[in-house]
Amino acid sequence: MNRWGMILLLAVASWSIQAWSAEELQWTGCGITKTAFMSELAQAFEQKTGQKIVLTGGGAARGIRAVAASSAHLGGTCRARLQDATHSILPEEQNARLIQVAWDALVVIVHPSNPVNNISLDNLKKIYLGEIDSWDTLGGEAKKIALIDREGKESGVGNMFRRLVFNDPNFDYRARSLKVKSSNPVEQKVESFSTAMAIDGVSSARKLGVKILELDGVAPTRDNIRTARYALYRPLYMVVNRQKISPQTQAFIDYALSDAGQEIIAAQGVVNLKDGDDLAKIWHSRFGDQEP
Amino acid sequence: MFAIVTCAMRIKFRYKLLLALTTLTFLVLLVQGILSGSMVLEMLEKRTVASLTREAAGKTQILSHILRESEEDLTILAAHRDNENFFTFRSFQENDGMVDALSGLELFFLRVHEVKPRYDRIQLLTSNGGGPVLQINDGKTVHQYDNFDPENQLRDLASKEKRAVHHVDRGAEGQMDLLSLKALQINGQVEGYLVLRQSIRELVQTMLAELGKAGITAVLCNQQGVRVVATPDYQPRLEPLFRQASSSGEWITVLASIPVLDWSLAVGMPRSESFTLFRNQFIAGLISAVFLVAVMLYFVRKAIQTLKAYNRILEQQVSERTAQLERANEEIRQLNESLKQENLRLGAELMVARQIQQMVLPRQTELLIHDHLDMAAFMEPASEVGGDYYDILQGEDGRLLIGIGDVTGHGLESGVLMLMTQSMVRILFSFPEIEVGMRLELFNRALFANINRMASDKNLTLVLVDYTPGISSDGEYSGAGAGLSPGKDQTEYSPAGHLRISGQHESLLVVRQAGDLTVVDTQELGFPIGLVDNILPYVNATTLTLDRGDVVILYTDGITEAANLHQELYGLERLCQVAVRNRHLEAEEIKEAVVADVKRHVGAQTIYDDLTLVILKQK
Repeated sequence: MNRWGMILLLAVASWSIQAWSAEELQWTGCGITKTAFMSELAQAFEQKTGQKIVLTGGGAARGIRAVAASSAHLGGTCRARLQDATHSILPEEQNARLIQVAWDALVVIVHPSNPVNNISLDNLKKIYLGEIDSWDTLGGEAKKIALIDREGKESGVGNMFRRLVFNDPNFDYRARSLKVKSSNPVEQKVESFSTAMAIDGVSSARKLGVKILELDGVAPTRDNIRTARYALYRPLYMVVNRQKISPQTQAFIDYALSDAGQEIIAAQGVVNLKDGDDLAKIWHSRFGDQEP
Repeated sequence: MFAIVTCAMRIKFRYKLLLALTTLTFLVLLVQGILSGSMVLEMLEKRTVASLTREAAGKTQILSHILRESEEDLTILAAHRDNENFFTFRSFQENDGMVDALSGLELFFLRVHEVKPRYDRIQLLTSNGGGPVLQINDGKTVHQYDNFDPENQLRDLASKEKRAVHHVDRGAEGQMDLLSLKALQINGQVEGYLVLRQSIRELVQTMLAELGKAGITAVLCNQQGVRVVATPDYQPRLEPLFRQASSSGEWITVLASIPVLDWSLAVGMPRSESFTLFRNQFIAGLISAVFLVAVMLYFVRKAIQTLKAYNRILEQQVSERTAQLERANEEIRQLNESLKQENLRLGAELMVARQIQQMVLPRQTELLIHDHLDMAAFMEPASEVGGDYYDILQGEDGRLLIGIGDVTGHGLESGVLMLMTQSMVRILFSFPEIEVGMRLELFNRALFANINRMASDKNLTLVLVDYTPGISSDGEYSGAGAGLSPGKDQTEYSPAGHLRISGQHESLLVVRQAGDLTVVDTQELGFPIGLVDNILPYVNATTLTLDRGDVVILYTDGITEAANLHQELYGLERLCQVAVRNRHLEAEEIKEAVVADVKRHVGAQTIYDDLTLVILKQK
């Protein structure tokens, strides 16, 4: 019994030691942010300072909660912290501080072979309400829409899509969908199956082999997002712990917000803070989020 | 005649008195003999009935165990995410997606067969006549599907709200295949079925042969009352006698049912046979006694002769031999002692495992000191060491982790896995930063590796419940005394506690103060631990809020599957009723009410599984 206990203790201890290694900063969370620009940003930071940053995905909820619980130095999220029925921040997210670093947009992605190019916001709603279930209604082939959905309302896409499209973070979709655990398999399934459709972040989707649809005739280009012509835009955040932030962690945040860091973000086709200056005002007047 | 009377009159009075006394004594003895005889008869009858009941219950228990285990395995199979993926892709008519999901399921079915090779067929079918879509025969994927029409079984499934239905398929060549079927429900709609097939022919034949050897006539009948198999001495003319339990006719018969299968086992013995048995036992005893006396006499005689012959020599060597005998006696004594100790050690091993299992349970004092929750727990191990696990771990700021689980099977191995579980959960609890899914996955990885090393086929269900006291909008804990206060509007509502539930185990009951009952199904929240190397894709969490007076009940299947004399299970429904009825009591009193009700149901029957119960009540 002791032997088993010791083995697990050592395994967990070595994992913890690795997590807190002085040489590496641990970044975890939003897969869209990770694919969008985190690799490039972390690489540039390492070249500049010698500080290595290890990136792991896991979703927005993990990005916020792992950092709040001090099991990672840095996190990424594409949603704000969640509130309960009393409008209090959830206990597990209270200790996290969110710092906006860029703008993203939610996009409809489909298989590259799909002939449909455009979808209206109204039809998009109808798909999730179960009122439209075939591609021919949208100008495509007479095949059913295989809706792929990121599981859970707490995910970055799950939360923001409900807020932006249905104005309710707890909205229950009525359409049947295939549930998957994170953004990565959502994207893989849309890449693999010809009738698939899903919601993704544009910053990540544009790097993949999927087709991005126009929304009400507006393509989610960088210019259309920064000018709010494309409707489904949203902030991307870095997450740090409210109580303790190491000098190395602070140095990385400073770098991400610096001109050099923001240039790297923009170079990946993502709308940076400077480009999206006007968006911030519209966003806050529209949602009044407590973040950052 | 006249001469006899004259003669009798001539007999002296004292002889007359002696004759009268002798006659009276004879009559008294005769009456006593008749009375004793009827008592012996009654005792014999009772003994025969008890013996038959025991034999029948033991055999039906074996079959019931097979059925229960098959249902558990079907639940495991149904929990695989690719089942839902397949049917969702099917609803989209997306062929590539269906193929993708089926290939995931195929690997999983093969793995299940590897662990449980007795299932010679594992099959996935679609509903509405869609037929089979995946079939594993003896560990190999086949594309020639066996047809299986589940319609009759499905009606049974729907009408009795069963978790699974079983059907025995009998082939022309004497096969006896147990088909176990479970419906796959997606969003409340049955979209497919899982079927497991295993042969029970050998098991049933062995069962009947053992009864036959014990001089018992037995017949196993299916739900239509049709004979499935019987001992060789069973004859059709006995059928009316074996339809019901009886001890009044020329046969003593007893019935035992296998409720899930709706089968019955009738066992019996001719009344005369029970006397024959008694007579045989008596004769055998007498012969043995005579033989023993004869043998003893022979040896005593031989010994006396030998003693006489060697008397002198023995006298000379007596001191030397005495010393040798003393040494030999000492060796024998030591050998006996060590054998006794070995027996004690083996017995003690199980006892120690049971004691360790009890030792690592939370102490009563730990349950009493929490500011926000009133808690009570109960665990009663079965006759063997069982694999039930529960724990209540307290962290900072009133945070709690409540774990409850059940390792498959019984015995030392299950007990050891339970101990590993307790240790690992405690270690993982000390790392609150590890998120729920990863916590279960880390635990699964460690246990999966250990189970493989142990070459064990065991796994366990485990649900972890994280409790956090409520936090009001001003950031203060709102545990004690919080909740919905009169006069406050909904925006000021603050729950007194939060629960985050993850992992797969029995359902969890939440009884609200007003009496509303929520049954939280944990099937979608996890996967059996130790069965596959990665359960992360299956782990989910659900959250609940608690208000003052709300009661949460966690339990293991020992409670709901506790069976009475008629093999009727205690059941979830009865547990719910007791929980709702007693919700106003304190946790300890609710616990006692449930345990007392379960014990009342079980009666004098042996409980074959651990009973575990945890009650939480929001203060």
